[in-house]
Amino acid sequence: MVGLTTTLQIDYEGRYSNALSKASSVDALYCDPDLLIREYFLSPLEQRAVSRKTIISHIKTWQSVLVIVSWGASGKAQDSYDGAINLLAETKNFRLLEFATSGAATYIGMLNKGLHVNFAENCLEIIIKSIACAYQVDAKQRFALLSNFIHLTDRRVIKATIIDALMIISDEIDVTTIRDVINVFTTDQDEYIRDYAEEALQGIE
Amino acid sequence: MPIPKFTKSPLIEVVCGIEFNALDFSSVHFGLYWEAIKDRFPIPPLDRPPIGDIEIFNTMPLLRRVWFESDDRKQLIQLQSNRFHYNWRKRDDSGPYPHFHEIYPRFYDEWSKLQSWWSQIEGTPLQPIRYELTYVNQIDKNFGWNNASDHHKIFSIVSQEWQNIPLQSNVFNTNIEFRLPDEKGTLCVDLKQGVRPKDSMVLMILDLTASTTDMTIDINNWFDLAHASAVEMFLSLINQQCKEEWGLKWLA
Repeated sequence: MVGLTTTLQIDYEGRYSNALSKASSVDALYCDPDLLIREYFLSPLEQRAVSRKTIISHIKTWQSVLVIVSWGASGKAQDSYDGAINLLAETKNFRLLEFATSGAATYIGMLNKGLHVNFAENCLEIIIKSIACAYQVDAKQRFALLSNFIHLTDRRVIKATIIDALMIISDEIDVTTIRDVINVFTTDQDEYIRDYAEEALQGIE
Repeated sequence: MPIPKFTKSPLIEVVCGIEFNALDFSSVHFGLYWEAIKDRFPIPPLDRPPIGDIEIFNTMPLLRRVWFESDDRKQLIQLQSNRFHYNWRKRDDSGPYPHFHEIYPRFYDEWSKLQSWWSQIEGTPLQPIRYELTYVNQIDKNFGWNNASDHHKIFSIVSQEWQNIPLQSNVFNTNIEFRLPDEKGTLCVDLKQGVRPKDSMVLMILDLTASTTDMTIDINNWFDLAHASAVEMFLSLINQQCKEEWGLKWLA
């Protein structure tokens, strides 16, 4: 667990209310997930690998999940796209993946807004891949979440990402189930997606 | 007066702060202020929630606190409508940590610049109402601390008898407040355990925060007093063996 270790909630109201400084930026990392996330993305790649397990254990809210996704999609930091996927994929908490899935609706809405299309696509890719790669969450639960994305949009890049995600979990759950879902894409109106799905099916075989 | 200096110090942050009254502080000032300090604090500002007492009756949402960081991210200025903080942070293990007498002038310089800037654009002074100085130390296994059972190895105030308690201690957090000399404020010692996000290492965080609302004392004199008291307190809290292992030297 990242953060402060305490078994006691102390109320500093009253005469001690001003005693403790809230101005320490180092102490703030222990109680402010957004700062922790920022520190993660601004740190060198090798440092991220060391810290992500503990950082993700400190993430408890849907807002923080979307902050991670947003960092990943914005490209504001080096390798932020992979950094976001790697961070979210370390979660053991199904709820976080649910938060990410719910948050996807926001990005779907942005797919029709010219300026934000790339950002929204990146966000959706990050969410889908993170769910697929979250190896510590039961594969059936992850599959259930991924199923929510299948008919969500006609964007080619998102459909291809879903196929990739299904491939990632194909060795963890019943292959027939995965094949059935990928089969849906073999009749897609987009020829590229049809071919991509066929290739994926051959890969499974 | 000799100055204590450690070759291996757990100090990772020093924060000098002033709470003030400022008439008509608005969100516009954050942008204008960044323009004024951008050459020294170029990293795009970061918005944080405000700290300190919250105004109960407010018709507008509270103004944010904004972080302005230097290029190497060692220096940080935090500004909100009633607070100014200057943080010096250790960012890596390289090089010696700067002494208070190097950090304080930088803080004072930035505070003076803020006052001049404010006075120039608003025509009114910033009225200080509280001073604050914080030292943040992280004590981990590199400093001889592995878990709460090791407190007695570090702190002079925890007796050796601590080892004889039948169950192994898991968490030992504490908070002690002392009075500064001549009623010039308080010094709060806050000890808490944590897990460092950077490397998942368990550690102990030792914060020493001096503060005062007595504005009759000269700012430089108060920060000198707060610094001297915090250092003296730190040296009193740490046991002799640790001081030797951490390479305490007294510089002329």
